[in-house]
Order: sequence, then C-alpha cells, then structure tokens
Amino acid sequence: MLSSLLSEPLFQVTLTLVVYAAVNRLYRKVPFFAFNPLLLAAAIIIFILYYAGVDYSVYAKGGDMITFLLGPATVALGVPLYKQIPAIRANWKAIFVGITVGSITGIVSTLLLAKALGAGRETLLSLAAKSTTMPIALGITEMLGGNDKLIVLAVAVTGMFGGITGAEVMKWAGIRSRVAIGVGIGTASHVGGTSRAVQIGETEGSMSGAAIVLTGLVSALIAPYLVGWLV
Amino acid sequence: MLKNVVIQYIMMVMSTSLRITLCRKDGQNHMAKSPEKKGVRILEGFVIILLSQSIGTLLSNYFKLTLPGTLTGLVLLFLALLFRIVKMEQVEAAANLLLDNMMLLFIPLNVGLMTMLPRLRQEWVAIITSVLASTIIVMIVTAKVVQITEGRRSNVKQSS
Repeated sequence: MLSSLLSEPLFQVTLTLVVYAAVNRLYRKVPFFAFNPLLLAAAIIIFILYYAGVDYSVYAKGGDMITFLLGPATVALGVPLYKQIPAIRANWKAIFVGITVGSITGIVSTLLLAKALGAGRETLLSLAAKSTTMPIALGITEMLGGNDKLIVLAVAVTGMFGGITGAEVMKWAGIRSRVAIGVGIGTASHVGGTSRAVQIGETEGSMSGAAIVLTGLVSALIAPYLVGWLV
Repeated sequence: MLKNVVIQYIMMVMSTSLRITLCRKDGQNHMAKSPEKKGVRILEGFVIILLSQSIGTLLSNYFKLTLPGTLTGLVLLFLALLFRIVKMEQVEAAANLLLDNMMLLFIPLNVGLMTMLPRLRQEWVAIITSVLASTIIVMIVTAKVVQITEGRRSNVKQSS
C-alpha cells in the first residue's frame, strides 16, 4: 500500500510542495542570502528518495508536472520587464551597452575557461547561459542542446556567488557609480545578486533588477552564434 | 477508483487553503470579501500567459527563430502590455503567483542532479571554476563599461 503510493505522481508532487514550504518558512526566518533554499530543498528530497528507494525516473513523473509550469513562469517575466520601463529609460544607454558587453563576456569567458579545464561538449553547452535568470537559461540551454539539470545548478551557484561577493568585488574594482554597481551585479548574477544589490541601495537594487530579464533576452539572441563559434 | 477520490480530496484541500491564503494576503482590501474574484483573475492571467506561450512557440518554430518559444512568449506579453492590448491587472496576479514560487518549479530539475553524479565527479573542477571566475569577470567588465558609458555624471556615490 505504502510502496504503491510512493510511486504515484501524487506523492512526488506532495513531497516537493511540502519540502518547499518547509524550506521557504525556514528561509524567511533566517534570510541569509548565501543560504540557497533551492539547493537545500533538492538535497532533502534526494535524501528522502534515496532512503525510500524511489528511483529518479519514478520521481520525474510527478516532477515533470511541476517543471511544466516553468514555461508559463518564463513568459510571466514580461510583467516585471514592463514595470521596469521607467528605471531602464532613465539610464538606457549605459544599461544597453553594459548588458550587451556583459552578456558576451559571460558566455565567452565561461566557455573558454571550462574548455581550457577540460569540460566536455555537452557540459559546455550547459554552462553558456549561466549568467541569465534560471527560466531563461533553461530555454537557451534547451535550444543549444545542453543538459537542463546542469544549467540549473550552474545558474544557482552563479546567483549565490554573486550575492556573496558582489558588494566586495565592486568595492575592490573601484566602481563608484550606483548604476554601474547595479547593472554589473544584475548582469553577472541575476536574481541571486539582485537580492544583495537591494541591500546596498535603492538605485543598485532597481538597476540590478532591470538587468535580469534584459540580460536573458540579449544572451538568448547572441548565444547560438557565440556557441557555434567557440564550441 | 480510490486514486481519483484521493486526488479530488487533495485538490479540494489545496484550493481551500489557497482561498484562505488569498483572503489573508489581501487584508483590508475589498478583494478579501470576494476571493472568488481573485481566483477568476488568476485564471484569466493564466489564460493570457499560456496563450502568449503558445503563440510564441508557434512563431519560434514557424520562423525557425533562435529565440526559444517561451522567450518569444515573454516578448509578446511585454508588447501586449506596452500597447495596452492586455491590462496589467489582468495578468499581474497570475504572474506574481508564478514568479513568487519560481524556486518550487526548479526543485524537480535540481533533484535530477542525483542522476548526474558521475559527470559532476568528473568535471566539477571545470564547472565550478569557470562559473565562479566568469561571474566575477562579468561583474567587473559590465560595471566598468557602464561607468565609462555614463561618463563622470551625476549619480556617483557620495563618499560618506
């Protein structure tokens, strides 16, 4: 009886929702930016599945129902993009130049470094979009033919790292403009960095937020060409 | 048979709890008196978002765009808002519901990493090093470029 329930999508979806709710509650109480709720939730579920003896392919039947909603969630990013029009308009020139250069730098530097360190072809295709926000990175990676699980990990690590180091890197590099700090952090480390940029200041936060979706769109447009050239 | 009953029961519980959350979230707002209205709004928003995604996917496939269908859908939704074809209040509730719970939607893919352990064990140095180093490179390059483009204008941080 119990073992048949374990293999039901119903159980997989419920398990995911319960763990998510629990981790979310914990994160709200201890809102430490370096502590990633996504990776923690995934680790707990992997642990439970392992000890319950449930195979990933069984879990995926329920998991896919949740993953399906990522498509609509990506489209929903059009709403914050629309709301950011005033912030973008105020500094449009600096934002567009910065994001274009930043997106190219992100893809080229990741590919060259990973290639030099011996990463395989599929891994390279799965790392190219790592500076874009997760749903957009997933779309780009599927288009390039990379691995969806690997890009999600790479994006999560990027966001976490950008959140931890953003403020110090900017100070160290001698960046003084608030707009530059915001666009820099947002372009490099999407939502993870932005959650930190918001704490630095209002301008930094809104600029970082405005950079997220735009970086995703610019990266999506240029990634196929850069990847074709470098991989 | 039993399975269907259980699913229906869970869905009933979920929709009730959603309704309670919505009531609490709105607080003093007039919506609190009619959570059904908010439910309809979310449904309406979902229809608009799913339509954008469908049309976006069709366009991407038909014109063989390098832009993934979901991103074409994102652009379509943005344009629809810009040209007032869709009003913000029509999509806002559904969009926020999806965006606020984005982390949930990514959990299954992250759980899938358990199938990738052999590859991670083999390539983790390349993956971690390139990801971390590139993040810092992008941050500095972008910020420098923005600073140069701005020139030495007004919004320079006051040294306090």
